[in-house]
Amino acid sequence: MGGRGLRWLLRITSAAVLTFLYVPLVVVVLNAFNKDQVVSWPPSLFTTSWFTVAWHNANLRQPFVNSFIIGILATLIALTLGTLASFAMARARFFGRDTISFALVLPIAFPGIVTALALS
Amino acid sequence: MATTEAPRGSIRRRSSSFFFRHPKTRRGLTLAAPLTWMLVVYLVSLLLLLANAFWRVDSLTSTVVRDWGWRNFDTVFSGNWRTAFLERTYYLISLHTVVMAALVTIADIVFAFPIAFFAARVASPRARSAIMIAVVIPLWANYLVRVFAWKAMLEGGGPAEAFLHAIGLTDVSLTGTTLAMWFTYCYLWLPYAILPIYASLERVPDSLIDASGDLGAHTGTTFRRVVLPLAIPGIVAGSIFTFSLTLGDYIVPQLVGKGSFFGNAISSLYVSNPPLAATIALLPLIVVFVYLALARRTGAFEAL
Repeated sequence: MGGRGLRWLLRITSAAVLTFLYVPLVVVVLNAFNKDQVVSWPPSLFTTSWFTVAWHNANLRQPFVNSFIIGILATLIALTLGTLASFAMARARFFGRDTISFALVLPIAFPGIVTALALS
Repeated sequence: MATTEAPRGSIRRRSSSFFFRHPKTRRGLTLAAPLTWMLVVYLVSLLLLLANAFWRVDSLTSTVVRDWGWRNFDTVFSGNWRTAFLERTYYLISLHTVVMAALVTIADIVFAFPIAFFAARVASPRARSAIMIAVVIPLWANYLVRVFAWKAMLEGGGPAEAFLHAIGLTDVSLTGTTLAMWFTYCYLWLPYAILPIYASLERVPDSLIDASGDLGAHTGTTFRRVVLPLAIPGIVAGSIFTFSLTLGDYIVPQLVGKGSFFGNAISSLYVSNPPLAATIALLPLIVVFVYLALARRTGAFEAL
């Protein structure tokens, strides 16, 4: 579909969007090697010492373990319930299906802090 | 499959043929666990939230007292809930949040559509999967990491300032501005907009586009009258993500900007006055509910 000019336009905008998606992440990675504690761009001094500092930081260990455990539990529960619901919803049209799909979308759309407040 | 078949008359065989003959029972049992979870976790907790909005905090003991009344609604709705006019503070919070969510949604759809269209209808199959993988990978980075990425980008002395200086704008700073928040939100939710739009464009059958051309439609006409209408559910599905995720966020205003959104109002009252926090929480809930009810009409739920 479309002429050559249009194709090139799409190619360029796609490349621009992908750049937009990756530049901030590259900045974070570069900052990890930045020796200067004051922000300056581009970073002038290179160091890997922050990795050693992070590795030896005892305060990071427990949060890491906590995140890992919660991550695994959440994945297990969400995968099990999600697979079951998808199986039932994908194959058939039945009475009440729309209501159920509406109910399943609600938690995605509801503000996280509201859900958190409600659950607490 | 024949080798794995259970022997005739066994419990496995009997139950599988029972479920084959009773699709409704099968569906009910499959849905039972997820629906029970939703009912218990969401419905009950949301009802509790609603109840909370009618309670109050005792000023001496600062504990929640189950003393039913409309007082929190009176606070939010300028002295008397019956007026249904939001108090100035809450009106401004609502306005800022909803306008930001709308602007982010519009920008993300404008950014998302070309790349989704390129990946779905123009690129070769190999380029297509490479692009979509590249779109998804940033989502693997933690949400907070991505917010911090923008904090690092936009703060004084960061790359954004270096860029602005390079193009001659030396007296402009993005640090802590609404524009900075807008950039951050657009960035955070962009993949969520691209994915459903891509999926809906990819599902448009080639035969329809060929037929449109055979019937004499130009590329532009085909796009407007065949491709775009079929992409609408995907676009609306993407907008559900961008809109509601912005509406509920409270981290970005704290880290990147300085505005006060629904989430900030809720989180600041969360400890000191849970009933008032619950009342304010009903505002974004109503907005999202209305948005979803409208979105459902476009068939967006099948495109999520």
